[in-house]
Amino acid sequence: MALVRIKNWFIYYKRFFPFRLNFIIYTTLLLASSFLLMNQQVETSSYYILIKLMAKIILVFSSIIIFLSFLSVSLAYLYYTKQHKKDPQIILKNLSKVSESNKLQISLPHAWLPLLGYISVQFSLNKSRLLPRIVLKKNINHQFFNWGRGVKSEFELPLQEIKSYQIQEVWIYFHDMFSFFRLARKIPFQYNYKNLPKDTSIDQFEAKPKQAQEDEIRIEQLKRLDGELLQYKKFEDSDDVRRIVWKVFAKNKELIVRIPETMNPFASEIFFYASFFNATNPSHYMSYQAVMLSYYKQMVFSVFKHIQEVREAVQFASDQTNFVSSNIDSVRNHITNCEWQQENTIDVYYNKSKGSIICLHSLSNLEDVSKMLDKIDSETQVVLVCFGKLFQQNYVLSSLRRIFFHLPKDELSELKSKWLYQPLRLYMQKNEKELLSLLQKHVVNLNVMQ
Amino acid sequence: MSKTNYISKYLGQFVFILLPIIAVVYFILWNCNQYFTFLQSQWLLQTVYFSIGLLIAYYLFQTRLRFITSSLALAFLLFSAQKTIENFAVGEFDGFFIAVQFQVFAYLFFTGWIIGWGMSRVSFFATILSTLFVLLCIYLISKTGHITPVMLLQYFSPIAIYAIYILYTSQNFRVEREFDKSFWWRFGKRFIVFAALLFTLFGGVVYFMFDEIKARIEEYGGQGKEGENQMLQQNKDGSVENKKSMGFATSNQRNKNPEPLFCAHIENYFEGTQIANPLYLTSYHYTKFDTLTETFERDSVYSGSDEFQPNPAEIGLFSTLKDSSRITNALSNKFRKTVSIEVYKKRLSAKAFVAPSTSFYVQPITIEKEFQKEFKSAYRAKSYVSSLNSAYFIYNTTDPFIQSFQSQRFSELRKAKSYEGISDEFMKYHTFFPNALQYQAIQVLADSLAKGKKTTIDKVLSVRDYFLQRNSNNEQVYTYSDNPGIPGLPGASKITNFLFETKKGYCAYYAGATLFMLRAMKIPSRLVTGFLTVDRSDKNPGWYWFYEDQSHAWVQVYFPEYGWLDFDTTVGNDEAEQSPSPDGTPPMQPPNPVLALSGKIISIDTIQKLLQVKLNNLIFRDVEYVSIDEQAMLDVSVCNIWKDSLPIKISDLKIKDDVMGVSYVDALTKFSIERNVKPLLNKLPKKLPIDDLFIKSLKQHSSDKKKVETIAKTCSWRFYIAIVLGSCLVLFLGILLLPSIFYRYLKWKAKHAKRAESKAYYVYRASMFLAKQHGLPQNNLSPLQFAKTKVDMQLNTQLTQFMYVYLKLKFSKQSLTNHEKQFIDNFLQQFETKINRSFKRSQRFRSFVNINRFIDYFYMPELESN
Repeated sequence: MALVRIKNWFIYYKRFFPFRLNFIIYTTLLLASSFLLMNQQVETSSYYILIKLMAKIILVFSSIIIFLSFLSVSLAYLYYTKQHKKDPQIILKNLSKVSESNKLQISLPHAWLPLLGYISVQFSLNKSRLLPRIVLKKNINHQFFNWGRGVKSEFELPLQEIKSYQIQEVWIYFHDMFSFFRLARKIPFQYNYKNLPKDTSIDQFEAKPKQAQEDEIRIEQLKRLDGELLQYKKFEDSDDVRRIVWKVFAKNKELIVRIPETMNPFASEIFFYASFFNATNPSHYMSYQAVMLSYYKQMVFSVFKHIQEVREAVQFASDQTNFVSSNIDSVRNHITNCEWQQENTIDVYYNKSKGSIICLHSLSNLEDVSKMLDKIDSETQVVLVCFGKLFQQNYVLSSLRRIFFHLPKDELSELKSKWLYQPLRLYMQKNEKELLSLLQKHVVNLNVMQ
Repeated sequence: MSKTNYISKYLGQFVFILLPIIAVVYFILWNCNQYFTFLQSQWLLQTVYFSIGLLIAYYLFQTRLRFITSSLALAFLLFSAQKTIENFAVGEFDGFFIAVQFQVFAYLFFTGWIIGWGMSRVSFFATILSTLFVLLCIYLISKTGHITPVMLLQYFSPIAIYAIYILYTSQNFRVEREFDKSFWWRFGKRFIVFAALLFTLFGGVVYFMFDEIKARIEEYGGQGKEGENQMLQQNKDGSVENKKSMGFATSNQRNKNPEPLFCAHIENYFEGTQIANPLYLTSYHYTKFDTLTETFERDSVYSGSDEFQPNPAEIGLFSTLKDSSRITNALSNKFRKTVSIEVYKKRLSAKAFVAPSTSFYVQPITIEKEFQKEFKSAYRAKSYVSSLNSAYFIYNTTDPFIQSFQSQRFSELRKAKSYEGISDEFMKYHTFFPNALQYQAIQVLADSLAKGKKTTIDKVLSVRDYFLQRNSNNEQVYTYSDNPGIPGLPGASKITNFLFETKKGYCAYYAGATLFMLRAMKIPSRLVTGFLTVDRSDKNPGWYWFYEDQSHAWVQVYFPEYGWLDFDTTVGNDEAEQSPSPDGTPPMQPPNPVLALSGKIISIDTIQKLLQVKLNNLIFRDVEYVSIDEQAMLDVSVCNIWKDSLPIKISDLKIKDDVMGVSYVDALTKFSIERNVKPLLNKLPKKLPIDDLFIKSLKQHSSDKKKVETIAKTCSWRFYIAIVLGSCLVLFLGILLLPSIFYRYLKWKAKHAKRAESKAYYVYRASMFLAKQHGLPQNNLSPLQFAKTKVDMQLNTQLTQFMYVYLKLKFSKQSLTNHEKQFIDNFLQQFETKINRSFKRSQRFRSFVNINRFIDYFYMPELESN
């Protein structure tokens, strides 16, 4: 434990060490060369004099430029520190739209870029976990004097899991042009970053509203609603007399009708169900469970978005809270926050009278699903998200490939390499197989997503 | 990343990182091809080999390819291919040629592969690579035979700039993430700024160091320019001296300058006659040889050297410098005698020392009054000379008379012992023979010449005779030429080219070739430079005149007991024996001084012409008393007083002047020498008669000069630092003064504006500037709001009222009333007064030097765009 503490302490304070490896190597080589030159015995040799002369030129030249570089990075750092005392501004803006990736924009107002150098920013989720650095090289544009007005950058955080992340600190580093020096500053910064699911393409399928539900909801009775002036017009022959606003007529003897809401006599809402019930214990195999959850969230959102593009009124019914919404941004946010749960079983959660689509996954409970199948009709779309191929790989081929290639530096690749030895794999494969055969037997509209 | 972005990225990496590496490697390979013949001068092809390896590796390693396994596989592949070629190539020569070619390809490709990997994967590799390239280039450039300051900069500047450039570019590419359309503009912009900074700084460094670069290269830089006299170097003051190193130049310009360098009187006559016996004068011993550049050099750290190289300019007049260890190091006892020589310098450098081998004594002497214009300085030297070293013995000539004369020496030298018993270290040092392949041919030739020769002298003569050989048409095979040319192959040895191909050259070629042939025969030998002594006239026996074309190189051979003896194998150098102008009149030799002393004047008696001197140094009848603390009274009544070669009066002397007095009075010779100076001074007359008095001894003069140079040097550095610091200070002050200057400009414009609109505009700008500069932020307020809510609220000024008037003038068509006009005229002064009252002087000062607020004044807030 003590060693771990020392290691963490070392890693933490190393960030404040201003000299980079490049500079240490450069200085070492410089000192070694100088030492060799100074200890040269044959001083009368013309070559020694020439070597010394050229060494002096390069030494003077490089020292001046490195000093300038250091000066500029120090000034930029000091200036920012001074400004920061007055106004600790770090502006983080989420630029993501539904169709786009999770883009963020960070701005550091009043920060100077070091001469030909750059500023980098690193977010800290907790004291030990730092996200990869983001480089800021662009000035914030102004009409006059770009310099000194601040820097900004657009970036995407390379986070694998789809969930909310709590940023606690920001590390700001000032780098010189040669990456010889790095001056660090830590600033407390609270930001809740949601790594939202992205829109991925899926096969075409359509969900229909349920007929019974359609009849119940059909709007026959006109509601009296207050409206804007724009929602009224003069009575015409083709208008329904029932729409005449008698209050207006009583006032000024004009026949005015309220423009009716656009109504699709067959319109109905589609209820979208996605079960996050996990038959296994989510606290076991957490890394695998987290990847599966993210994948499931991704697929659920993609299916939801796909359905919504075809039909406007799609309601997402959550199994985590009472959340029901058709707003895509709200649904996206909600899905992001969803977790595996073991309370709300699928047969309880699914409402047969409303649900047009139900999303299941490889870890869904077989018994619950079988109970639920009794409730569904032939028009209900069932989507089964399979995790089987998520970690699947050709072990012989990948072992051979690993002789010549490094593994990608992501968590998924590492999990894939260990998947073969996981007991979860056997359980999941069995469950997936049985679920699939069960659904294939009972469900007409089954969509399997792998 | 899109396809276009990938193209941008890879193209950018190629242009900014890989192409410069290829260019530097091309330069290195070109340079290596100059030295290593096996490379066969195919530097372009070799660069292509390297580039292929570099490009493939650089882009491949941007994927997840492993370095160790892939490199091992590649090495195995190359090795297998090499073995296959060696085993299956048809024809012995073709097979060998293809195998060597492939080997070169394999090495270069693999080097490119490693560098490609490093640049692609290792973040600090650029630092290592740039250092390696710089060291390699420094080494290669330093080995360039003929270097000038401009050449040095031409070769070195690109690599010095590259070394810094690659550090910057590689790091910038490493952090660059966006390779979209704006990449070229962004990166190009930074690149231009960096290039400007780099060139400015490097230019500055070179500018400030150019004098040093020039001086260093002039002093030590190889063999100087082609076409110059390769034996001599010209100093800044116009004087000449022998070079400290010597190579094989393609041409040697023997300047036929009619002005002699010096004349010398050598007290060496044939025994029992008054017939002058000339001796070659030696400057330097070149005992070291650099194989790569084929350059001979001095070895000042060799402890067994008998080279005596004092600097006569640093020795006081009549002071002596003796080094008897030189006699010991001469390792001889047979046929030796001490010969005295007096050298009178005209154009020869004051610090140069030449004397017959082996010298051990030097004493700067005065020059007679009438010759002082012609000769700058003079010294007397003594040498421990071999009787077998007469120039007549040395001349390499076909003259039968001289040859028969020389045979006397040869027959004596045949009695010399073998080298058994001579220390191994000595033999090893003086028989060093390069291992390089091209020198093997010399070994073969030397073996064939030495065949059947038993004695050392016969072996030496076989070399001399080899150069004197004639062909079937009775023409000399080896001829003298000042333009021996360059070998056809860049890497070929000049010495073997001379021996086996061109067979023409000047003294350095003959001496160098002789040296290697003798060393191949295991005869200890060395190369010496100095002056060829020619006895041209018998009018003044013992006097010799030396011109530039007499600068010469020859060989000294060591014979046990006889010591080092001169041998000159250069053929047909008759021109040097003819003087470019008739010899002049030799200077009168000053009498030998009985007493010489140096010291500081304490008191001057101009009536009795007496000087009281605090003595530092005294020489009486050639015995020197140093560091003495005595006083002496000098009688200067019949004395010539000199200051910088000009006669002066006693009244021109000053107390504390450093003086050197010389007395030739015979009467003093009757006094005997004492062990200590005090009894001697007591014995000598109280008023010492002095014949010549010189103000400032040469030694002190030179040390003063040194001090001045040191001060000048220090001053120059101080000067540069002062300039840099001064410029920074001026720039800094200028920046601080900018707000103040700008405000004064606005006030001036407001005061001198002719139209009311202009006046109001400048008053408006000046007042807004003043308010903002004092820390009142406008933010997104309109000028009127700013005036109303900020300025007037806080400072109780009339800025709002002014703004109404200004806006009326600006936007309405109504003309201003007289009252309003007057208000505008007086407003700025009133506003300034209010500001002055509201802020303390120190606050106002701080506000006006706040450059941020100044910049802020020009800043227009950007509209937020979402």
